[in-house]
Amino acid sequence: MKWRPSIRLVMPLCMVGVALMVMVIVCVIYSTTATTMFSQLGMSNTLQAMDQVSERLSDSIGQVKDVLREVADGMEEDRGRADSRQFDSSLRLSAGAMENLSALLLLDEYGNSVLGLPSAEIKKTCRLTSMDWFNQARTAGLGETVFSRPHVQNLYPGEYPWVVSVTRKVRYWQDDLPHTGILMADMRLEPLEDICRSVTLGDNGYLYILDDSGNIIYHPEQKLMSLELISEENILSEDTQSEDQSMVLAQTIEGTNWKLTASVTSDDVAKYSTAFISRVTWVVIALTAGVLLVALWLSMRIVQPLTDIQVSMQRIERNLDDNRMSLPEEGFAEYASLAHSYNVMLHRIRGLMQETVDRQEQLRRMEIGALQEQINPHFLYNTLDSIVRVMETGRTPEAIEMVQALAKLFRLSINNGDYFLTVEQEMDYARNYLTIQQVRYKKRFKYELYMDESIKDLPCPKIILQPLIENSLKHGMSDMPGCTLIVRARQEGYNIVLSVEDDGLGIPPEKLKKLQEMLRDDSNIMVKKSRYGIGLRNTNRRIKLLYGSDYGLTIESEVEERTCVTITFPKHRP
Amino acid sequence: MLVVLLLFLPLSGCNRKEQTARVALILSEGEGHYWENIAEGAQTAAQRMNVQLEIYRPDRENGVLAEDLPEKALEDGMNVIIAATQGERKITAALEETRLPVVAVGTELVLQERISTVLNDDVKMGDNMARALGNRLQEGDTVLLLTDSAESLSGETELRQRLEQMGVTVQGRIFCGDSRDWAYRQTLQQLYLLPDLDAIVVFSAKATVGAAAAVKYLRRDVAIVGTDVVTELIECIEDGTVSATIVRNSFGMGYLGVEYAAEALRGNAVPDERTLASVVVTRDNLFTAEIEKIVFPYE
Repeated sequence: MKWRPSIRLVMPLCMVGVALMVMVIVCVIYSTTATTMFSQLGMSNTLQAMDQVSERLSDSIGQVKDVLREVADGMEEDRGRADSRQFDSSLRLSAGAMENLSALLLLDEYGNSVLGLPSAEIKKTCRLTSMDWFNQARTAGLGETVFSRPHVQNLYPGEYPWVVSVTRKVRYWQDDLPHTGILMADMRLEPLEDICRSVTLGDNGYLYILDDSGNIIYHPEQKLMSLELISEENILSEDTQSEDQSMVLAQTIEGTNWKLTASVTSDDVAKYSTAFISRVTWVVIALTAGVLLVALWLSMRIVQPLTDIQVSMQRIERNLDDNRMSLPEEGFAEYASLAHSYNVMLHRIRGLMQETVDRQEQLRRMEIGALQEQINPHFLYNTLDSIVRVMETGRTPEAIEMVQALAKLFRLSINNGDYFLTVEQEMDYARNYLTIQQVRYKKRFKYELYMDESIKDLPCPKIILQPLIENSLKHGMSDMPGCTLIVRARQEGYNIVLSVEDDGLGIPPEKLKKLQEMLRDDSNIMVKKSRYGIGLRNTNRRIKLLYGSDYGLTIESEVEERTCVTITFPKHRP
Repeated sequence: MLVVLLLFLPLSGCNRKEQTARVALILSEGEGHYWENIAEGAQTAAQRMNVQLEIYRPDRENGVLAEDLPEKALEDGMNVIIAATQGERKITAALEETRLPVVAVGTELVLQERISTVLNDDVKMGDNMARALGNRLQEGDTVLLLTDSAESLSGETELRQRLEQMGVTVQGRIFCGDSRDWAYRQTLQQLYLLPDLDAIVVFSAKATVGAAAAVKYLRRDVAIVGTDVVTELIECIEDGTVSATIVRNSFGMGYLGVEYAAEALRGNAVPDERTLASVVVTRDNLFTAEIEKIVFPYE
């Protein structure tokens, strides 16, 4: 048998295919949307983090600036009080500012220390006038705050902290004389570093601070950059610049000329998107697996009963005669209905098969019956006895006629074993039979035979007229001399109609009715035995078995008037 | 079958976790500022490069010599060796025997499996030392060398050549390790022995501090040129006791050694040789932006 895809295979594949297609389309749409959304979210988070850090840095730097302003204002307003108490009170006003400072100094224009916190003596080797930050402050305007580049401060022995020196040119009073000096606060970088490190920008992103000259104030890899082991392009623009894999964002820290810069990789910005897509992918895989399992289960549920039916049908096909075998009517309604219909059909097939077998058996029996009819020993004995009596009485021509008729009767009945004669031969058979019977009944009746010439060669089941003639002679005319028996053969449409009519006793109405019912009823093909009209019944059965229930015998009769039995069958052979 | 395919589909897209490379850093000296800087640089790089770093140092008290370390690294299943040596022949032979890829740091090594070499610019270093002494010396002056190694040191050959060209005589070569006290004692002794000594060149940071303390103690007018930098040495530069110090990028050498080893293991190309410059630090340039970031690396 040619290979064909099974439902068991096609159904799960189709379901999974459709499910996958739908899920992939949904995933693509969602992923595209999510990527954009999450990228924007990532960027927004980065900017938000930068804003927070920038604000904290600004606050931290602002505290230092506040200290300088407070001290400067105090010295300006309260002449002659440029002393350490002034420093202390100003520092107290800016709580926490000292944490950010490593030194607070008031220097005169020549770099000599006037006041200082801590109060430790500045190293003698320290040449303040050569310091960049000092010279920057000296050239700045009065009251102007200046930020130095990040540098190592070397004011005190054994200490070399990295600081940003925040300076402000101030006026102070000493010995009742006004002086111009430099107020300097060394701002430690660690607090700034702590603030920058307090936020994380993904796995690889980081923040760093640059001054307006591009000097790095803070960078997480500052040491490596100092030693030129790694490098980073300084970005001074506030515009967002997209590079291959990373983005750099910069914004000015309020109150300074510093830039807070964020370097973030596109992977970090899109990490939520990646995680989302990854999750969605797993969901799709899980759903696909789920759909596949459901499809397999469903196909099993659908296909298994079909397979059972298929197996059962094959078994039944091999053992069609076994009446015990049938499909189980269970499972889904459709399968139960299908099995039921199949079982009904099977039942009918078996009935038809049985019917065919029975019909063949009937025909065989009929044939045997017909043969037995032909060689009925009583008929033969009676006929021969009649011949002897005729010959004894010297009626030789009659004897000859009888012998000839008997011979023809036998010849026609044998007919080379063919079950059919022609209409003409059947009429000859009837004539010969009537010839013999007329001698036997001493010519107490007359007979007439009529046949349409057009049908004389048409096929006709053999010896169907003889039982009717015998019946008519035996029951219709036995006690009525001078009766006439008429046998006709004619055509009506596509049918051949043979009739045997006598004007004898007729049949009483009750008996006629029973006979008519018996002949009409199809079911009497397998009829039970009846006392009435065995010859008629047998002939009727033979016709119906051969040609179907539409054909057969009909009987009409009027008491004391006539009886006519008609055989109707089609022109063609069955 | 489909289920199996679906299960394997995501796996095929997944990046398999890269196996962490195991890198051995072999230091031919157990201690010393120079070696510690190399180790620190290597550790920083290992963290950044996501490699597993093991540092092997000789332990003479327990009989573990530098030449034993390559075999130990091999036994420990290391994938690559970074050899920070001074070119000792025994270590070179031991490294060759392991057949592991090697990145040579500080000294050129002739090895079949050498991946790369990270060097200090010895020529420039010797030149810088001579130049730093140049202002203080003249023809006929004498110089003492304090070293931290029995082997010929980085820049020593070049320095001797320059001094010879200047007509300056090297009076002696004294081993004092990277120890302040040892250098102090040795210097005191030599200053007594060599009353006409004009300059001392020291090849390690702490020893430079010791030598400076001895010179200061005896109030001798002896120029000192040191190597590398520690906080005390900065003070000596500030007060003028030490004329100059030549700062090598030993942190960078350790860092690049690991970086090249990691890159090579990942199949990436690395330079055959990389030379890192040393800088001359004097009182005049100590607090300039360029020198500050080298002398006071931001931690």
